[in-house]
Amino acid sequence: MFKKDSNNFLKNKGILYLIIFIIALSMILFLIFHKPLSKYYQKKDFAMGTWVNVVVASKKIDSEKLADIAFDEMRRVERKFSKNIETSVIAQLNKERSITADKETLFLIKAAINYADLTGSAFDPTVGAIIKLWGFDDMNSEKRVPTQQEIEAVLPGVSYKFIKIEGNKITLLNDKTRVDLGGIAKGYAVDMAIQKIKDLDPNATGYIDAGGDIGIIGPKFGRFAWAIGIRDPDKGPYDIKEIVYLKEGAIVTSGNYERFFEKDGVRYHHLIDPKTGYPTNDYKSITIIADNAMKADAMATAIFILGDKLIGLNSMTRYGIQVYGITTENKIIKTTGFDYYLKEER
Amino acid sequence: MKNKMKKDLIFVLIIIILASSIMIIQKSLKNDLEGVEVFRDGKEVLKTTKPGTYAIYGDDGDYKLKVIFNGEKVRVIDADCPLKTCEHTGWVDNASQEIICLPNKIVVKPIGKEKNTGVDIISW
Repeated sequence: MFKKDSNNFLKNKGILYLIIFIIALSMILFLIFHKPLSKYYQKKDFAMGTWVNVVVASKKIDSEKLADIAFDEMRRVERKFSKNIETSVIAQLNKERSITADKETLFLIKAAINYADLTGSAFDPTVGAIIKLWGFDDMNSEKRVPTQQEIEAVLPGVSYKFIKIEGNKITLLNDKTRVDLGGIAKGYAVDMAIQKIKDLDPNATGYIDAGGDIGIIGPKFGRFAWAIGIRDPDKGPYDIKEIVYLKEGAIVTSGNYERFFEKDGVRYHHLIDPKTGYPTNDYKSITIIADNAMKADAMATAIFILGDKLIGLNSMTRYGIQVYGITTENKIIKTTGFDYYLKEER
Repeated sequence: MKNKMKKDLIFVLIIIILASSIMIIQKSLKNDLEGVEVFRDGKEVLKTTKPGTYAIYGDDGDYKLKVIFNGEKVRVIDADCPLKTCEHTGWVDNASQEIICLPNKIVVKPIGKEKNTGVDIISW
């Protein structure tokens, strides 16, 4: 037997060492070069006045194609509803004061009116004229603090009640009223882009992030929740305060750090109360989880603006939303159901 | 026999030390950025691995902003846009963290390894 042969024994021992060495080496190489296999296609580009990131995977259709379709859809919504694009339906409405609208426009305007009604006008699609005074209507506009007289001059035209819908006809009842769907259209565009992807492949997964307005296409690798950081308002855009886990639906944050300028040591941000014409300062940020991005978008703006005036935060859940807020005193407020999304294993 | 066992043990220990030191070296390398790339309107206008301050101009020669790469981190200063969101982003040290200038359609992208931040997306 070879065991009794010392030469053979040494030879076998050599082989053993060689095997151990090869295993160890392959483990080292694995640790160095191992990267989790990613089947996700990512496309980042400017759209809707923000930086948009589409991450998508499909077993049925080329993921690259799906990402292109998502961008095309978001750009279509922007062209149709941006008040800054002259040929848009909204620019037309603001100019002609009365238009015959298609189903989609009617749906979006009715949705905006509905959120304005629900929130006592904290979210209001006619706030545009005030936003313009502050220079937050366009990223290139000059930012400035308007005078009280300037604000008082436009405030009478600010109310969703001046939008009248009769059949498919939309009319603005006050000469000063300007419609601006900015607070709802980005979320709607995300929802529509997801819908387009789902129409082509109901099992597609991934997400769309339109400047922090996030809609989930489907769970990560078809099974896991996406880990979404809520930005820490006191730090940079990549510093997070809390992690939310979502497999579906949408999450949107409105924060005082998104668009702001400082004048004489005071920070003025873009979340302006339609009733006073000034930014509200009860919160640093409000995050909303909802079943769609349009709702989350509108409600994040509304609850931020309502601030202290909102009594009974938990009552908001009847609209199908969960709320997480950081007050200016760094106090965390949240609906009881929000905790559910803070746990990774569900 | 005991001697052989000792040798075996030393051999295994050497392997473990070798493996862990490679892992530590690799991890420490992950913190470093190699450079910075700047895109304007989707076109690359700067790619460098040399630390320094670089001014970025538009097609018409108009000044837009300055990008600083200090060898470890990247940031934007002196932007010409009204809100200066790109400046407020501050220093970034992860290749997955771009600095965006919306009005000028500029993307400042650090070159290097993407560090795991523990999240897939950030809601801001």
